[in-house]
Amino acid sequence: MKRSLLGLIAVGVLLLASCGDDDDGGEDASPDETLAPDDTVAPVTGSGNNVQASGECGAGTGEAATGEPIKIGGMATNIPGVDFTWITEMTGAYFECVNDNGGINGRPIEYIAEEEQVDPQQIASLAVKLVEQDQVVGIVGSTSLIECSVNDDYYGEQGFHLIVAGVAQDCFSSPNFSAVNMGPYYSSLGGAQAALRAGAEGTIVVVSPNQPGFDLINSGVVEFAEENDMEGVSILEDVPINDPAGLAQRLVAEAGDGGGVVLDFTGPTVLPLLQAIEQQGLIDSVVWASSTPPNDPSLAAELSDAWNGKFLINAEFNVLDSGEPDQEHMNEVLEQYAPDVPLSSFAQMGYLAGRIATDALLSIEGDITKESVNEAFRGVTNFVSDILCAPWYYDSTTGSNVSNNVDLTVAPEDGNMVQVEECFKITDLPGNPLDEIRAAEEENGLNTG
Amino acid sequence: MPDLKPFLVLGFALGGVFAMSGVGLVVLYRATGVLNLAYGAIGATGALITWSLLDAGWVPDWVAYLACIVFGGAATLLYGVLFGPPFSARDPLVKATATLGLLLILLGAMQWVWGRDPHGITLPTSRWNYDLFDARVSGTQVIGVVFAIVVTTGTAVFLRVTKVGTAMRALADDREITATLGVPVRRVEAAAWLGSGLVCGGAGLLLSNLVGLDIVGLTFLVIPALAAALIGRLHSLWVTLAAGFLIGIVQSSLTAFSEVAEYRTLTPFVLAILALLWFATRRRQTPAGSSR
Repeated sequence: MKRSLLGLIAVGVLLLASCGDDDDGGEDASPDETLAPDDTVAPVTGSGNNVQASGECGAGTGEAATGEPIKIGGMATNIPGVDFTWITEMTGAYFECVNDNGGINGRPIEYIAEEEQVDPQQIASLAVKLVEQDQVVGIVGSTSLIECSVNDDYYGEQGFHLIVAGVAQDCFSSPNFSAVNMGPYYSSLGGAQAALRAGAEGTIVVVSPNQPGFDLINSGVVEFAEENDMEGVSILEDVPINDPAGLAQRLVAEAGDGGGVVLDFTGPTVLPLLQAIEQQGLIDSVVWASSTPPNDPSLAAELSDAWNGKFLINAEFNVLDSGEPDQEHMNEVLEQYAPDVPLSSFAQMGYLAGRIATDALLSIEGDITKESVNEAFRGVTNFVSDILCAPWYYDSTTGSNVSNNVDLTVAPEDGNMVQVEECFKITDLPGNPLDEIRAAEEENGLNTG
Repeated sequence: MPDLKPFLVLGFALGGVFAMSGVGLVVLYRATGVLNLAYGAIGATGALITWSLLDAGWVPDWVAYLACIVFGGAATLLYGVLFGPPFSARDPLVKATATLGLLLILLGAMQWVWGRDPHGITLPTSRWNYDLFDARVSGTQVIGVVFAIVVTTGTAVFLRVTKVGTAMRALADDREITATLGVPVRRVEAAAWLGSGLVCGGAGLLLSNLVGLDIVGLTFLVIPALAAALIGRLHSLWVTLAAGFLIGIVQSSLTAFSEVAEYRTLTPFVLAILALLWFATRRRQTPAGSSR
């Protein structure tokens, strides 16, 4: 009897565990056109007011801020296989550096970073907590699988304009959010463009975590493939992946010989899959590409030389060892204030969100209030950094914000990540607003250095 | 109809490690009444210790690999010695829940010490590859299958022919009566904890190669092993072995079918539930008094 009861309880545990774990308007993106020089963009370099000296952040006074704290909020997803807290931690690290350098006109930033587990009710509650209980005046660095979808209306009602790292497509289709990154939809698309340039033919497969919204994220690659007279296949995979060799076989079977596969997973999740692909002897069967997250030197260090130049990662930001001033500054801040955060694209997102927000806060003349802060955030234009391929701005004026829409490609090489393609424009498609956004950028002088 | 051969081969290899882990769970349960839910977490911690030793280069590689197995044995033995006696008279459900505490402690510790960067171990045997039915089979996969069969056979023989094994079987039947017969219960239980832990460490090392060194992934790979053990009714080593292979093969084969591949990770739950329903149905159909 006891054994039967225990068996039923164990099955209950198993089931609970299972719950824990989800035409026109644009240019035709033919392979030739994708390779066209017009799509290549000269990268910006760190110069001018935005470059900060070693050890300095914000006002750079070198003196600790002691005034009344300015409360800024943030929220990040943290579930098995998806951990975005690196981003809020890095934003918080930059704010700490700002506080050690005079803060915002003598007032320190108090950064309140929450973690969420992809529960809409929890996410809505946390937004209310930040805004109404903690009374934050701005929200910066938030990175969530679904928060943009859940809290868009609430933030709109409250007059908040968030500087985020976007994941869900709603982060890029609302005037209430502007992301320092381009998110998995556009980054996967960039990966597919790189795969096509590398000779992928026939079919392009895109595989993402089986989480809410990722079918929409995959849809860009599918549409891109179809626009190029190829077949597009979307796969959603439970993470962590518990049979990577089987998945590797499936991906190659779906893509067919010479096809392309775009992976859309974080570094710790994708590494076992890459190792299984190598073990199965499938590296050369298709062209392997990826969205941004695996652009992480620690991942390159774990890969064998067999992957040299054969994993095309769309990097929304410059390589981490570019040696450029902003990147070096970020590396210093990370080492001093957030040594536990891996040197990664996620760290770049958190750093940029913090930098942009700090510059906006310092530009406020008069009282620092919810209204003035969010107006300052919304007014950011042409933020220059060598971490980005093109200057960043908040508001495209079209209702959709994809300010970061030009990036590059990196690949592992002898234990490092190296740049293998120049900055290029993410392709516009009938299903995305890039065509309209770029027209607005040109008209309003946005995204220019 | 997709070509299933490579998926069958890969599933057989994966199932071998599920089976081995399941057998380790069953042996411990039979001897101590404890369903060790921290099995995967212990293996994952051992594998990460191995990764650290390899990364630091402080010891020869074989010592680093051995460290995973030794950690599995030591951590499990330590838990058994410290918490086994106080929980010995408690309900199996309480004992199982207590191991959830160990799981959470290890999970937190792993994420604190190793959690952020990607990690990977490549055993030398993973480089010994040969092709079989369009799948590339590595030495590690072969070891996984062979080790599962060897562990099951060895355990079955051990339980049958040795004094300690006989004592373990007696404990499984009735702990109190066995104790009154003069069997050193705590020592026998410690042996079960140690043996189960060593298998756990070995499984962790193999799984870190076959599935990847992902903290959460490895920790919760106890689930397929638990399902195999349930199908074996927490008693039969051979049924557990077969169930482990079955789970691996079915799950891997479903990968080949696009329509259902998304749901293949449900395989352990579905098979375990079907087995429990079948056991329940069979018990109802058995006339009262006809059971042994």
